[in-house]
Amino acid sequence: MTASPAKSDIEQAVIDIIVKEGSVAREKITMDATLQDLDVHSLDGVQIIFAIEDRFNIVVPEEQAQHATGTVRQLIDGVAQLVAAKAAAA
Amino acid sequence: MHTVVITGQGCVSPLGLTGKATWESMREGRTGIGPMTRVPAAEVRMPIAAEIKGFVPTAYFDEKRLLLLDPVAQHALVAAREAVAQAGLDFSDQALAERTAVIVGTGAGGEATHDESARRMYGEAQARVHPFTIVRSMFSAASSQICLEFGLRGPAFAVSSACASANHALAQAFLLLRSGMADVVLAGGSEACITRGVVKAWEAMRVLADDTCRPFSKQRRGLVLGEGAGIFVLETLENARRRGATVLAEFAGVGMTSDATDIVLPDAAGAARAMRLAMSQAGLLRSDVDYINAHGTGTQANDATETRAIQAVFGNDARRVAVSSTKSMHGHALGAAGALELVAVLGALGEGVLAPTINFLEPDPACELDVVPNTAREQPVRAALSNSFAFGGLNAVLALRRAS
Repeated sequence: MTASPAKSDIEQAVIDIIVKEGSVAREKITMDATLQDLDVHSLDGVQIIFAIEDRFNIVVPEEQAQHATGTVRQLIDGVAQLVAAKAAAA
Repeated sequence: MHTVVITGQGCVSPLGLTGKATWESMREGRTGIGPMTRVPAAEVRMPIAAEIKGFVPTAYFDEKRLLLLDPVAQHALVAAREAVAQAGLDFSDQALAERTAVIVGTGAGGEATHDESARRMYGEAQARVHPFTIVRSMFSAASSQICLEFGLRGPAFAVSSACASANHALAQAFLLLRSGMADVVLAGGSEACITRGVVKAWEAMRVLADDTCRPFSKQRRGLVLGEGAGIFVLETLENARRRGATVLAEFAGVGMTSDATDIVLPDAAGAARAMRLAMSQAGLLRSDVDYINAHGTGTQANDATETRAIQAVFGNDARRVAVSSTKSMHGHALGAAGALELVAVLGALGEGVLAPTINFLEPDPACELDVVPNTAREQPVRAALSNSFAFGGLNAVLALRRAS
């Protein structure tokens, strides 16, 4: 089993990606905000998922990609689960 | 201004290899959606598609000619042959051949040819690609091949506006005939887009459904890619009368608009404006329109926005007018979509049968329309609209009237 990134590292990386790809001011991001609340365009939402997949070398399944409805917390939790599942499978 | 009519239809689709077979499948609510075979299922996340079944290219073309034909041109040619045969046109008449135009829409063009070139260059590190790569993959190849096949010498070109390409092509045909620049036009759309490159690109956008296509249902999960071609013979009413042709429907008006709001999200105002323009040119009141063949892709955004546009145009009549999405059966054939859907519109006007929206589960409050769920309905149709709203906000709506 390989060491998987700590939850706080995942959280930081996901927020960094939202800031960069979604053109969102860092201070506006809260755990309970949805990407829609943060005025992230739907195409940028797809780009955020794409960047997350690249960053962690995971595949975010379609049903977890409902970025328009989920909160930042749900997004981070989903990514953490995928990263953990990948580490467990390695 | 000339009156424009349709006198021939040809179609190759996931619902059948002819216009007649396609319409019969629509009328019976059969699905053309199934497991994807063009691209190995293991390589894609959503391994379903509406593929043409049983199409054997050598049954239509000799080997030498096939070297020149991407599937997108093959589909268009087969559909054109059927349309010309139904219309009963004889192009050995040189004057007619010079007054006949060809306009074919395509959104993706010769993608199978591009994939093959890419595979040779990047996959196999070959220094050469096939010498016919250009003539197979140019967007206008289908139009040129139709001209070559029938010896047609009038205006000929391709039209491209993503998922509205076929309707924009048919609109150009209408305008040429109306203004007197041609007597006959072969027009429609063709697509052969179920290739690895195109499927992966759509997959990356996350708009593909993983179950099936359920337009206007609360449970809709996205679009399903399709393919095929629809080619129609449009001509001036004078020309049709002179030669005693059977008129399938009157092509009465078009409405074309651009949203200029977003590269992907549709805008109800742009869609509504296109419908109003088509009705206005056709001289149709909202009470005259009995059927709308919807763009109805099955994505969250399209179906809700299209509903708002229909409600804005039709007001109190929005619950009366029947609206169905035949993409539930033949999938989304991108630049051929409007052409496959014109088969449903001609069936509705000609036979008084509305093709259903299949795979319908529960109504969505955001899509409060009569969507003819799951089974076809017998209902006389005096006039109909056919909507196409493309990515990039390019809209083209056709208005048709029953043959009198």
